[in-house]
Amino acid sequence: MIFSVASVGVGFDAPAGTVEHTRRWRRLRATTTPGLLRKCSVGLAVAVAMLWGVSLATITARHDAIQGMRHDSGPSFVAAQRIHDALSEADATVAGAFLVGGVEPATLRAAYDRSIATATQQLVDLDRTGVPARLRGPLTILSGQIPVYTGLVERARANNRSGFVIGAAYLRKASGLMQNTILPAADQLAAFDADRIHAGYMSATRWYHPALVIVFGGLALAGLVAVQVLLSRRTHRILNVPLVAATVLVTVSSLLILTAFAAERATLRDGRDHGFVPMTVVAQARVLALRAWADQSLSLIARGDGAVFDTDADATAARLNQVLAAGSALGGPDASTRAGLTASWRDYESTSGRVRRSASDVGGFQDAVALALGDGTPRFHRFDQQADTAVTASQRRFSARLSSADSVLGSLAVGTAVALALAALLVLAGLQLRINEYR
Amino acid sequence: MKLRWALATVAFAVGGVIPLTAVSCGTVASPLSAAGQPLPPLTAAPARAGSTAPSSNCGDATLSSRPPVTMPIPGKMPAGSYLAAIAKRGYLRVAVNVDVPPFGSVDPDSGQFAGFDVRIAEAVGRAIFGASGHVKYRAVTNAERIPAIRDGDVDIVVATMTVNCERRTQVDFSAVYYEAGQRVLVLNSSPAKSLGDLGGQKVCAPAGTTSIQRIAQAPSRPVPYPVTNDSDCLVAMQNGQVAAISTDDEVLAGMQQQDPQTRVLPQSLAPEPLAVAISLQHPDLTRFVNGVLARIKADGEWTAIYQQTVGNALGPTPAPPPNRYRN
Repeated sequence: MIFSVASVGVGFDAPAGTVEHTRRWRRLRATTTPGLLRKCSVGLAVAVAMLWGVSLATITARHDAIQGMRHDSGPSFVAAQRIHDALSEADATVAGAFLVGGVEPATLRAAYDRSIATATQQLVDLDRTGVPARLRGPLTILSGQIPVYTGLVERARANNRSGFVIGAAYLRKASGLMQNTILPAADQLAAFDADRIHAGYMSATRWYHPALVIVFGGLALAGLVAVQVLLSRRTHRILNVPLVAATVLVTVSSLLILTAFAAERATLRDGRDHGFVPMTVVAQARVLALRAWADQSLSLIARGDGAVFDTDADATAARLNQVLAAGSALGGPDASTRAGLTASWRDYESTSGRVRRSASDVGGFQDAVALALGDGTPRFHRFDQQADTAVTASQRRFSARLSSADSVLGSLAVGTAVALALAALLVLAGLQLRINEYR
Repeated sequence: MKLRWALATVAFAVGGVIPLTAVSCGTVASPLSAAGQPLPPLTAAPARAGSTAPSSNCGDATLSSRPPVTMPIPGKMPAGSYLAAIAKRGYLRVAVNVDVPPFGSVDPDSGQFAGFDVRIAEAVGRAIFGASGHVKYRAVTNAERIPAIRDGDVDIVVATMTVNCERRTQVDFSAVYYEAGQRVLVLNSSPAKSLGDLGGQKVCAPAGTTSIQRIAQAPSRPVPYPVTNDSDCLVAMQNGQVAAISTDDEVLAGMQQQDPQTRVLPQSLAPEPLAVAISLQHPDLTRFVNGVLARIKADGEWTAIYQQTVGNALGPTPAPPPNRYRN
């Protein structure tokens, strides 16, 4: 039995000593059962190791991508959005306070101070996380120009208190700086992080990750089954328990990885569709609304010279209507938080239309200011608060989805590593048992 | 046998992997949606209407039409006249500046219009209606003054408007109600004594005014720096963007009141006779306004208005400008 012939069909009809004879003999030796089994054992171990390598690489790639979104690009996108939001709010608030008269109401002054404090705090946090060179420009603009802006606002206030018309000119200059320089820089920050989130999503859900697991898992399984069939034919033993166990382990870990990938992908999709997208859309709506509101105040403050602001308000409102339509078409579990937005905006818009009409009427200026302050401001705040609630809900959902996607992959790498290492050992042990029988 | 296994594996890979990846394993992208994109700031500011009419020589531009021999009694405007139309409407529509104290401004506390120009308009309103409170204001920029008349948005413009031949082709003017002059405002620390010392430096004035034209034509070649409103000039000077401001001395006096670190240079570049602008289609209104102006100049109301608005900011109260008519 020591040199058992592998295949019945192989004969020795070629004369000994010829090249043909040697070649055939080598083939025979290689196909002796222990040699073959040794080869099978190494081959299967390599196949299982490759499956392990592939799963480790794909799990790690996804895990890293999600971690990057959870702890880096996600929070910094939210921070950039908050900066934009807080600054828009500050600009609109200070303009609204100016309309009231010589001394701005304490509530509006406090709201302005809060907005500026929020923006600078977020900026410091962003700076601390270490930013790539590409963002140096916008960050420098933000940290350099916000103090210039607040300085202009203070000069506007001081002059307004003295009853000097130059106060309004300073306010226009401040708002111009905000809208044309500071906010676009905040937009650049947000756009950069949005790109990173996009890239993170792609890396966390590559189509070829599961494909590789299927291919390599399938190869390992096919090998295992083939070797077991071979063994049962050659050795007439039906079951090799370690090999069966290895087969089960490989099957289970492959399926586990595929299931985890599918679950992670579904969670990320949910986070995108019901968190990220509504968050960005409603945040944009809020910023646009604040801009339109500031435009209205500035137009009234500018008295005769409101045309520039009215044009901007029109463009902003047109865009806002598109954004609101997109927002209400979104659906999802937080749809109820967005449900009232369009109606609230329409409500404010009707007032602002009346304000605009009476401001351009000869002699209607005082009525317009009274209407803007008495009716327009509370209506705007109703919209603003709804938008804020909706953004916060979507923000929470987005970060919750990221962390649950992360936890799906959390122990997968370790679990599959242990299972596949065990499978490789079982393969080696199971075949060694048979090889030993030939000694 | 082996071939069959290999084929089975390939079939499994191809038949299983491709549909599976297509259905539930596709790469998920998360680009910022169109609605989430920011709206960039509007860069193109609407073009301002300046005085673009060809210059023409009309002789003495300050000559206006003679008032009627007997002014209509307040509240009883002659039937069929434009004055009767105003009376029927119930209020006079007036365009004023609001950033030119002490001529035109809005009180930040009360929101009321105030200043020398506003008081002149009130006098005209009282003469039509016999009572105050029948004047409605519309604030305009300098460049909007002529369009406001031409488009019929207002009846009269009392907005520190200088009379010249170029403008006379587009609107009619009353007799001169104030004899201003273009002067130069500099920082107290500036060594400049006149516009001649400001060659190559930026000098600010509102766009669409005679002041900015005169800066551009000055022999010392200062650099004109046009802005929208008068007060934008003071902002520019306080921020070190311009070395000087050159416009009507009354405007400069208001700026000087707002910023004591500045002074008005004594040199007058050109007389700036200020008059009320009225549509060329309403000669009866022009004659009526001239009648009101002649009366307030004569009965001391003009002097009272000057003292209550301008005060002593420019030294002793001057005499009212003379009434000069072309017929």
